[in-house]
Amino acid sequence: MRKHVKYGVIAGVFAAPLAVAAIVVPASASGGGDVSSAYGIAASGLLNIPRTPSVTAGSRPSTRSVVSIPGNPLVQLSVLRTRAVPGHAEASVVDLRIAKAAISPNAVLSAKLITAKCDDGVGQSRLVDVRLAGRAIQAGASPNSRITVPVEGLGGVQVTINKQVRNPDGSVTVTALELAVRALGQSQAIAISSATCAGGEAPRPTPVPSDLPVTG
Amino acid sequence: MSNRSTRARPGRSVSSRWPVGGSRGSRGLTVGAVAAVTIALLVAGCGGKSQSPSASSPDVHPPVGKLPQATTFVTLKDIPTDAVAATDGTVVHPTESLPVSATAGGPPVATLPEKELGGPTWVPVVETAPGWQRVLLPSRPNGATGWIATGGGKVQTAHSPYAIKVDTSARRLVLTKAGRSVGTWSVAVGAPKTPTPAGRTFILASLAPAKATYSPLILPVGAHSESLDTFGGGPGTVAFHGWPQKSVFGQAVTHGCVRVPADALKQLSQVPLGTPVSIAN
Repeated sequence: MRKHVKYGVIAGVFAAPLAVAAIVVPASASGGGDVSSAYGIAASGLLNIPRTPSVTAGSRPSTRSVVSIPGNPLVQLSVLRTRAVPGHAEASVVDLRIAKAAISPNAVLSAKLITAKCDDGVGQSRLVDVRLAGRAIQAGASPNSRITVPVEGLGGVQVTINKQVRNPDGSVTVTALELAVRALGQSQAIAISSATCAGGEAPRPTPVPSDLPVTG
Repeated sequence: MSNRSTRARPGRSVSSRWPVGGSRGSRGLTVGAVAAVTIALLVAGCGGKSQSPSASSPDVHPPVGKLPQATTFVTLKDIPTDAVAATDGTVVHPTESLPVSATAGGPPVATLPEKELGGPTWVPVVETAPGWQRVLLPSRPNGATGWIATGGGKVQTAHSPYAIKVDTSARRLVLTKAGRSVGTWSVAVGAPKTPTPAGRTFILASLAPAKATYSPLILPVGAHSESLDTFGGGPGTVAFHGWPQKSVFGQAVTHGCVRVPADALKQLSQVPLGTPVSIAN
């Protein structure tokens, strides 16, 4: 019975309108490449998944992979992989399916591959065969693309693609896909494939063999 | 649009193209030394080999539909000038030419190229807003800034722990790293009629002329002389560089550049592009 109740609550998660859910931006340590971090998936709201897996630049090992999310029958995947070293971070998920309810055979969100990569403060995302309620979601040319996708029984789901945020410490966080919806008075958000990194120390200049008349 | 290089300025000579090494700043130098330096200046171009007034005007009249590039050769209009807030040492490099706006989210008024003077463009960040950064630009007027969009995957970020301070009345340069003094030196600054402009700027480039005459290395900054519209065929860019005569250090004798001793030049050569430079009286 407890199991059914749990499903009922989670199913109710994807209810009616709007959202602006906040996925907690990773708290960044100050200083150069030490802020590198990445996670595969996170969800906040009635469906709650901590950042999984999660790595930071100081992690041992610097790469973490998982092949399932325990206790979450709504989220199925082949593998989530993350890596973070100074100046570089990446996260990828393969064969993801997030179902509206355990009973529904039609996944609400499905994806062949979703990756986020961050190099020296430059972020990029990749989406391969990603569908929300059957509608194809594509990584567009510009980051922070937003669309609202109507999902039967859920209402409008806000989708942010290739979200890029400049953090106060100068690091950049790129999140390949973010979904947000409001349900039962609560915000529900799911973030997939996120990587954070910063540029390190600025490089020593290499003199250019050239001249410029300057004011002496 | 007025032609800057011939616009008369009260109390200032427009004929800045003449090398005037002999008539200005010759205190403490012998006649022979002055002659030698003048010849060196003429040969090097840091002293006015240009004879024509407006041929090298930095003004840009962009073709219709084309935005001016934010380089040392350009004067930008309608852009915010620096409000002298502290920077945190963040410097950014555009991986491709980026539009520059006068306000965060506003329409572009210029572009920031990927390269400046043959090297990679690095500019310091002076203010941030969600999705945007205001950066110092190397164009006229002094203190020119503009907003670039972040998060486009086109802006590389890094951190410079250095800061350069020039005190033009004391004629001293202080280099700090992570707030700690790395060195202080007595330097030569602009003469009273051609002062080194006060304000905040940054290290724009590192140039090694093929035929080094007065200095093996020239470090142009993002600022220009405010009394000389052009100089030596160039747009009046101010720079740090060395000088063959040590007697100039501690004197206000240049046309705007800051001449530094060899040891200082060596230290400055290690400083990343984009590092902030403060010049105060």
